[in-house]
Amino acid sequence: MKFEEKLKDEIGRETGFILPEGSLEKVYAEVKSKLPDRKVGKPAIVTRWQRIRPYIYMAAMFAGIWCMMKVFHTVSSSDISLENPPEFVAEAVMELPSGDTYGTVSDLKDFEVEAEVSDNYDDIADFEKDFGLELSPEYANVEIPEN
Amino acid sequence: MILDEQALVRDLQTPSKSKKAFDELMRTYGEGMYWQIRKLVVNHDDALDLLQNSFLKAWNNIDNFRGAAKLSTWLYKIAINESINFLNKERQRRNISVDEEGDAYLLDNIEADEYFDGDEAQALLQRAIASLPEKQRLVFNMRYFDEMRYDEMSEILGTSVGALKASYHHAVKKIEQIVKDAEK
Repeated sequence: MKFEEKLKDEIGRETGFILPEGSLEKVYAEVKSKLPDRKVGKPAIVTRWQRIRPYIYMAAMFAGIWCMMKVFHTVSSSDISLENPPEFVAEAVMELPSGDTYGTVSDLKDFEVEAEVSDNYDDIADFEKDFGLELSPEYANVEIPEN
Repeated sequence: MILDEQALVRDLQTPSKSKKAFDELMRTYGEGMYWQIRKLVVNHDDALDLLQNSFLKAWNNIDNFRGAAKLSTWLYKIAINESINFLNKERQRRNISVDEEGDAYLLDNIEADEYFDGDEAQALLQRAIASLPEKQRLVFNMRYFDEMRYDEMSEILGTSVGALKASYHHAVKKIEQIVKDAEK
């Protein structure tokens, strides 16, 4: 036989503790004499804003969700591609300088132009001939420094 | 919550009716609360003091009762918490570690206690229960003596049904060992 069953058979469900008669009544009387008075609170005033606030918050939330869905829908359904870029992208690409990686001479700084000339020309006359330039007399006798 | 309880709670939270309603509450639930306390603290006078404290605590917190659980569940929780706090203070006062011997000191003179008329077997059982860890004592008392359902116990003690079943099983095993050792 299981121990629990044996316990129930031999001892039962009585603890053996006694509750003297009238003890609880004394407690009830004692407690009643000690109960502080309950304060009658002022009824809470609920303003109109407090009443409609939850609905406004919900409306704002749904409006936000709708806007987000609209943006995602626009992006996913557009025809943007490399072969067919948006107009503003195409214009920007057109404005980019073409040619070699150094760009046009006008993009170079003065010291870069100087270096470019001295690298490629030994004689200023060759430079004048290539560019159809005629330097002013004050620069005619300037020597091109060797690097 | 049953319909009568709903009406009682409504009256308890209405200042003009609350004292009368509280008297009804005490008479309805007082004895059940007393026995929950008594089985934990053993001493009758201590149990009455703790019952009084429990009622006063309930009165001061009645506005916080939302009705999600039964009124009896809420009251039993208060009573058990008061009892546990009392036992913790007693252990501190006596410098006893609950892990070593539980609250066995409570039954040192149980046979001489005028409010105990059990036989030797009942005294032995109470000593065995008192030596259990607190949670196991609570679970054993509620399951064995009150035949409480595990889901009810779970609401009162805030423990899962599975953990309560395990607790009860361990409690029974320990009590069995203590009783067998005493019979040798």
